[in-house]
Amino acid sequence: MTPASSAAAERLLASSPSDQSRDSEPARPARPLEVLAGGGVRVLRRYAVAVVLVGAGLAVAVAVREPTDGALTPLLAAIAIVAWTCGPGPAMLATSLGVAGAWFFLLDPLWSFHVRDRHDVWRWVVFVGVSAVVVAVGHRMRLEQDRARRARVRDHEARILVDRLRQHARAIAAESAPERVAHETVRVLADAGVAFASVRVVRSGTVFELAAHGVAVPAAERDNGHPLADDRTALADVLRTGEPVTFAAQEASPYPDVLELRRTLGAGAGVALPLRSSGGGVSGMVTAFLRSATWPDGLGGFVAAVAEQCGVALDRALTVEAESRSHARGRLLAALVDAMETATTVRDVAQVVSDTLVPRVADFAWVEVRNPGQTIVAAAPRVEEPDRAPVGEAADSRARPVDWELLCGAVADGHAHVVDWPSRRLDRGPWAARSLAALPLHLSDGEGVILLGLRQRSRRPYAPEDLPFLEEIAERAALRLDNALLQEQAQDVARRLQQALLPTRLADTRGMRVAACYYPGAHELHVGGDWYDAIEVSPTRVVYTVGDVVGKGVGAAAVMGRVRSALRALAHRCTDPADILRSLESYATAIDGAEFATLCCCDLDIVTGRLRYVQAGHPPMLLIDPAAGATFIEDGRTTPLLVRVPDTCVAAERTLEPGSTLLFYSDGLVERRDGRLLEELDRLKAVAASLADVPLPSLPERIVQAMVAGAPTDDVVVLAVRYDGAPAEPLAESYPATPTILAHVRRDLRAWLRRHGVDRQDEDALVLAVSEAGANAVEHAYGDGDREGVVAVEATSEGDTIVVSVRDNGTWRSEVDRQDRGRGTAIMTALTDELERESTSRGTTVTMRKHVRVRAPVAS
Amino acid sequence: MTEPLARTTVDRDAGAVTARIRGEIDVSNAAAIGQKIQSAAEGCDSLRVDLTEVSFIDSAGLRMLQHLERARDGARTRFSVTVQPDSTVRQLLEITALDRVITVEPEPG
Repeated sequence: MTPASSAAAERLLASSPSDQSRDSEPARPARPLEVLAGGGVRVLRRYAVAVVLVGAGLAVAVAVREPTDGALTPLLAAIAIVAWTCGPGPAMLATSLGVAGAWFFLLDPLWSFHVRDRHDVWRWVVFVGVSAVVVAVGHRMRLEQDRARRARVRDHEARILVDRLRQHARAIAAESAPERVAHETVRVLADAGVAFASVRVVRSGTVFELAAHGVAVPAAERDNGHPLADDRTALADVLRTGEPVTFAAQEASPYPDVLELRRTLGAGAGVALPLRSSGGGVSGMVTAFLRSATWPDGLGGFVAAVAEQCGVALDRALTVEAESRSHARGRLLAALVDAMETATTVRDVAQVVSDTLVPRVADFAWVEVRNPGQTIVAAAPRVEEPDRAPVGEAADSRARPVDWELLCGAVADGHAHVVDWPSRRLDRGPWAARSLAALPLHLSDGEGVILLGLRQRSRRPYAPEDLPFLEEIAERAALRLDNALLQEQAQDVARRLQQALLPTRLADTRGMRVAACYYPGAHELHVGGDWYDAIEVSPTRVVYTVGDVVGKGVGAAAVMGRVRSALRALAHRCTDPADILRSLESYATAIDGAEFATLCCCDLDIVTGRLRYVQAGHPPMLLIDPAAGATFIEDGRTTPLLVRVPDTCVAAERTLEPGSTLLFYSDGLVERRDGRLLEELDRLKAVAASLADVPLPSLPERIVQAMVAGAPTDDVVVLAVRYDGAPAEPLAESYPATPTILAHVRRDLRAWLRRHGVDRQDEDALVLAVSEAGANAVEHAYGDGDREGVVAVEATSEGDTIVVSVRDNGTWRSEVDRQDRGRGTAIMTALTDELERESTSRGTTVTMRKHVRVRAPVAS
Repeated sequence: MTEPLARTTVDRDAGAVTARIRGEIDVSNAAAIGQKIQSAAEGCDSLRVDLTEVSFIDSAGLRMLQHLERARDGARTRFSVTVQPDSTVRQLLEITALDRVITVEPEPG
């Protein structure tokens, strides 16, 4: 028992209205006759004893027979004994019997009630006096008995309280969690008849209610964790001063919290006792209020004693808690480091940090990494809220917590901060918080911040004491993020090398159109190794290759570049794809890293549509025939590069129908970590069939979008080749994008249409439509002053349908504000049968189809 | 191109102005033609734009016509265009519904 609180207990006991000292008085030893005269039958027995004693006294008096004062002595003695031993009732009986007996047997002359002499007077005086003494003694006895009974009750109650105290000590001795200790204390107080009880502790300057009894709202649902410094309540005063406070029921209290307690709970007398920590400070307090205005006997002392026990146990539990928190923090750091090891990209690392910290140290987290240009490289949100959907994938600046700039301002000095925030600014949205911690990420290149927030009322708000730990988290995270940033930079180099090695633009040839796309693997170090190429060997022969070398990164990209160069050279020298492959194999022995490369190699004769091909370990080409639909080309297969003796390789052959499309792709399009290859191939077939009407230039990208959800994890290459049949001398002209060139466009197109014998009215319509499209391209695509643009006009005839496409390589701007451009589009729509506009990052292609009347057969 | 895409001649007879355009009107010359006609028709009672010898007109040309029509509103002049019946120009005016805004007259005489 610490001196302060025992003193408090004493004071409390002194203030109690009952005389406490009687409780501790040792029980009076029972007298022999009392033993005789005790219990229920004891009452009758007492009266019997009285009768016997008075009878005996009377008998002695009669035996003496001396009508003198002395003769009454035995009788009076008997009455006195009765009065002393048997209590007032028997004493009165004994007195009555004594008086009657004396009259009958001793005082014959008294029958006359005459006072004959002085002796008679004296006798009466003595008799009355003795009777008075007897009655007085009897009364005194009665009081004594009542007091003894009360003392017995008190002893009993005290024993119960002592038992409870013992149970309480036992119960809290077994508890290591402060909350459990507090709960136990509150329960014991409640059992003892306390109407309202609570246990609070101070942790890092913040007051927490650990347990409460008699309060309408459970502690978990109330605002818990007030900064002590801000607390102006009576209870906070106790914590600050370390002095116990008693509250009398009717006292006008200056403290609103006490008044509130009285008003809402009808609380009467109360007490708030500080708990002392072993270090000497105030670690918390126990509060107890009664409904009654006064303290029952012993309860005040009981409360004080319970508080003593609670204080000791809490002190220990808080120490244990602090130790276990430090262990938990160690474990969290270890878990964080472990988890970050498995992530490779900056984005993944950031997400791992968020996911690890929530819910262990925060209810939500936002990890953001920006490059030196302040562009967000990665933003990883995580919100732990059962009844609220987590913030989605779209982690960009729009999803940022409110008042982001101000939050970032908090860490501008490079240190972690607990952000004290006006609650109104943070009480809405997924980032509503009661407490925030902002931690800067010290990155070698760029900057970042971790924002942690707490919103659950039961959680301890961030305190300055937490900052060293939080800073350590940020330090570890920054280290790993730095590493990931470096890796991504290396990956970026590989990606750029890869893109530099791939053809920038594949030229369409007459009768053949080609479109390709390449997506570098976005998520991991999966860059490099995929290629595609279209090599125009002669005006009527084109060689297409798509392939993939083993490995990733800069090395793979370099090998790919060499293989592709070799293929370009070999395509011109060899006449057969099998020859190309054989020659490549002998050349590839000199290329370190080319083994196991897979590729498709086809040779297409544009005039005849004859396709010869080999597929060396590569996923099969997909042929989309306008009539027969999509089928995989399974023949012409051989093993990957440098796997077997190359001589046995023979090219397969087939003839393409006009209008059919050949789709080449790398395994990134169909290989998923979770998906099965055959299913993905089936899906590709279905996707390709459903996209049959998509204009060729956008077909590869549309296929990738349909096949790969989100950013592809692996490299993806798609090459689409459409065979239009033996070409009928299409128009293909490029013009600089200036308004004056439109007249040339019209002239060229008009001449081409006339050569094809197109009806004059249809000619006018097509010329106007194309001119409008050209004007759009010129005005919109290059209106920004970018004068290096090109407008490409292509026209082909498909039987009696003319297909004209106008392509630019600029970026379209919105046309909603330009009424006349809307009119231009209306004109184009009105004058042609079909109008399609495909905008990609590389530009816009407007394709118009019009059924025309032809005066003469289409010239070839 | 040395040869201009279109030639515009403006005749003023008392308050009546006739602008005759020959050739092609597109985005490259529409604004210039419009300006020329508008300045010539300053303060006139009626303005007639003769498009019978226009072999090509695009949406920029239509915009120019619409601007002339709007300017006419302010000056309280009569504004009309002349086109060949069944010509592409006439057809275009119908497609764009401009013939409901602008008075279109058939080729005179």
